[in-house]
Amino acid sequence: MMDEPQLERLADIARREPVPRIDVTDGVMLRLQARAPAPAARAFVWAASLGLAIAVPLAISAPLVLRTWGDPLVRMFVDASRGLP
Amino acid sequence: MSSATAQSRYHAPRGADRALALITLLAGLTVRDAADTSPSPNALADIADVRRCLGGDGEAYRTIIARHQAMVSRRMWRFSRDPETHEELVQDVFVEAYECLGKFRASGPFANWLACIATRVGYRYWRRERRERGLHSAADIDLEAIAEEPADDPEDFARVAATLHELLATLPPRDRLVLTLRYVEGHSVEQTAELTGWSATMVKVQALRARAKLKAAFDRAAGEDTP
Repeated sequence: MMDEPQLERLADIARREPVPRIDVTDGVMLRLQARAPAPAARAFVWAASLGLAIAVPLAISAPLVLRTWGDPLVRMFVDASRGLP
Repeated sequence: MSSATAQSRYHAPRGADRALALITLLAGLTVRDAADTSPSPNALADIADVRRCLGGDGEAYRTIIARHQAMVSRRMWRFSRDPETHEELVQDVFVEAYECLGKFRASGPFANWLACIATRVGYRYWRRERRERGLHSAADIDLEAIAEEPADDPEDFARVAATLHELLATLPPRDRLVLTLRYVEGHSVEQTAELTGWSATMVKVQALRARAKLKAAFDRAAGEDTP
């Protein structure tokens, strides 16, 4: 019968169990070093992200912009060049 | 390793700059309050070491690990009794704590903050284990170890702890977590709520349901018919 007092009794005994002693200091420090990106790599990732953030929207929107505004823009430049002295 | 070398080899945790300023402020307040409440020297040393870590001194974290690994190891032993997995979980706790160091606000002891992370890491491990292997079968559990009062012997204590661990492993992770924290770790409802991030009412309800499920698992293991 596993009622609450029985569970408390077992847990009380289980708490007295000796826990294996381990030293994780070196392991953790090694893992932290492995995760730390080098400054050059970090700068490269940062620059690549920025480049993509600018290039992708431009590449997507460029055909639409040119299709819609291409002719008026060209005409505007031609008219402006004619008006020049 | 010199401090300068250490600073170049470890990266400061995320949000470190902003957190450093806040920690400095809070640490100052904590130190001023120290005269009234007399916090343990370890708590003050923790705050000083966290400040050094946030400044990029990775070696300070070595001191923090040395100070707290016994507590974390004891806690993670409740989550896995496999020595390899246990060591990996303890490492996971310290790696995750380092990554979140910028979020430590020094409003409570560092050990409590670390205990919350340990609970989160352990719970995540149980959930992953359940997804990959399913729940432990109650029918395979040998209840002989808990049938009699154990002698005053560490081996007997370990046998009882292993059987209790197996019984709890038959429960879903949430039930297992609440019973482990409330009974095996011996935390109060409020402490359990703080560790899990649940409300006190939620802890009570979850514990009640979990005890009923544990009773059913025990009956199955004992070969009795459950109603």
